[in-house]
Amino acid sequence: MRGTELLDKMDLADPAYVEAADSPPKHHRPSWVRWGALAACLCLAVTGLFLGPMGTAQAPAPTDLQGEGLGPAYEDMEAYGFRLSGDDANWYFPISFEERVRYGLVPSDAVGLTEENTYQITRDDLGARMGTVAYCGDETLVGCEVYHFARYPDQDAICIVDTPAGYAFYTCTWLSVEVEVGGLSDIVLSAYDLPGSLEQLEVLTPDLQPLFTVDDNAAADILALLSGKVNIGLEANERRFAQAWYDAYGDRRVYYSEEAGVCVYTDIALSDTAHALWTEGERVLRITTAPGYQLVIDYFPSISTFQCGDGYYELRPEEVEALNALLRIS
Amino acid sequence: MEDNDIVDLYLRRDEAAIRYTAEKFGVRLRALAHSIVGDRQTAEECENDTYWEAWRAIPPHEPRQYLFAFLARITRHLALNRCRDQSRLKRRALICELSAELEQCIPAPDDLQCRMDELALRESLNGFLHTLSPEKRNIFLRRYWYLDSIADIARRFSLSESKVKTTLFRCRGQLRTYFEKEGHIL
Repeated sequence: MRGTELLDKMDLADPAYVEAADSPPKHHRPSWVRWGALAACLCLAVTGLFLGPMGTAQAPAPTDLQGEGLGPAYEDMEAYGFRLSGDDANWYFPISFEERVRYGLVPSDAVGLTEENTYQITRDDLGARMGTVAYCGDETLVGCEVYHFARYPDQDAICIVDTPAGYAFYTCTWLSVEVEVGGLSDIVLSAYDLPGSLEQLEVLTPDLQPLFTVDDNAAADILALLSGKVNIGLEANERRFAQAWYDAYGDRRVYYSEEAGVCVYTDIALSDTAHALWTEGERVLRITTAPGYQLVIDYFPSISTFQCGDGYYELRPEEVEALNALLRIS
Repeated sequence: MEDNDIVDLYLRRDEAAIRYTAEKFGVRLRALAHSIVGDRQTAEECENDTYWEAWRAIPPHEPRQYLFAFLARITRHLALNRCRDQSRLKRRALICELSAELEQCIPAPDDLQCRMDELALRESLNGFLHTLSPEKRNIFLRRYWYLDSIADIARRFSLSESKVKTTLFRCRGQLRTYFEKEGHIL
């Protein structure tokens, strides 16, 4: 058994213990919290569910519920990441199909990975040695040699691992950067060596459809606007969504729940309206750096913040205005 | 409405069962999903899918005593699956981190199929949980069942992060020892 399987098997814990662990600790329980009130708030939820406003209730995810267990059927999908020697923070994962396209390893018009279009790695593809696999859920990889891909000798984001089963591509698309609440966005930007190593800044829709690529001058201006911002944390960010609802509709049908730690609806049918309000003008910025890393930033002009990694950063009104102009948000 | 009554509605195939389930447990299930998948939209999808999976699972199941735990188990499973989606690399890293921690509890980790049957593992795991104090048990389950961050656990129990880390470290060691003493090969 591996750790990932034991993580799944934790759901064998006695339900009594599971429920006890979800009970609010007594010294933290606000006196006004009453589940009955939440019940009243959510009384119309089912109507919404059956009408299917979320578009998901009618198409449940395939799950094996036979027998006693939930029967996870994803073992074959599991792909172990690894950490490179000398780097305790970042993870490399087996290359995805989209990344194969990005690195030109399959034809751009390929619709899937087949035996015929799978790039066959040879010794000639090995560039400079990067190190060895220091940690991996699959212990057979530990100690394996890791090399640059000779086609992209300066990119750290893609590598070739000499595994017992042969050469394999791995990628590290994003860097693990932790910023404490109250910390600055500069910590993230400097980890990606921005703006110095900027290669490309793309503007995408919330569902990651490309809109346009900004020129170098505009990219520099955008990065300047994103720098020096304070991480206000998840709760403050969620409260902004609740406040945006209150400002627009003058009621608390959508509010921040301390119990849930996120915004909740009194009626799930409000979900579409709330999301339309919150995501108005939302843009995703995908910043590619010279080593091949990609920093993804989610910008919400509706609440004047942007999300980056686990951080939520606040912008001033004049900065929102400037950013909207650069991102062509009307 | 009592859990027992809600389960009766499921058994009668009365769709009001889902309404009452959402009323009573919706916020908690969504919060659980959110803590795992990390975004609101996906958390809502997991919550909604949970209701439909419950509809399919009851009957034959009759979780009269612990309906929330039954639903939360479904939500956890759905959310973990979403995290393993290729496009959610950051969340997959969270799973890798938690898996690496739990692997320290396994006397001899290997890639073979689990050697202990599920019934034995259930008994062993719950036997271990029974040996822990309620606070340690809750901290352990918040980390490895609810997949909470160290910081969240520290806030929840008014403890320092180092105290939480120390507690988890000792719990992992105790679980490993427990498995070894029980003679289990995982």
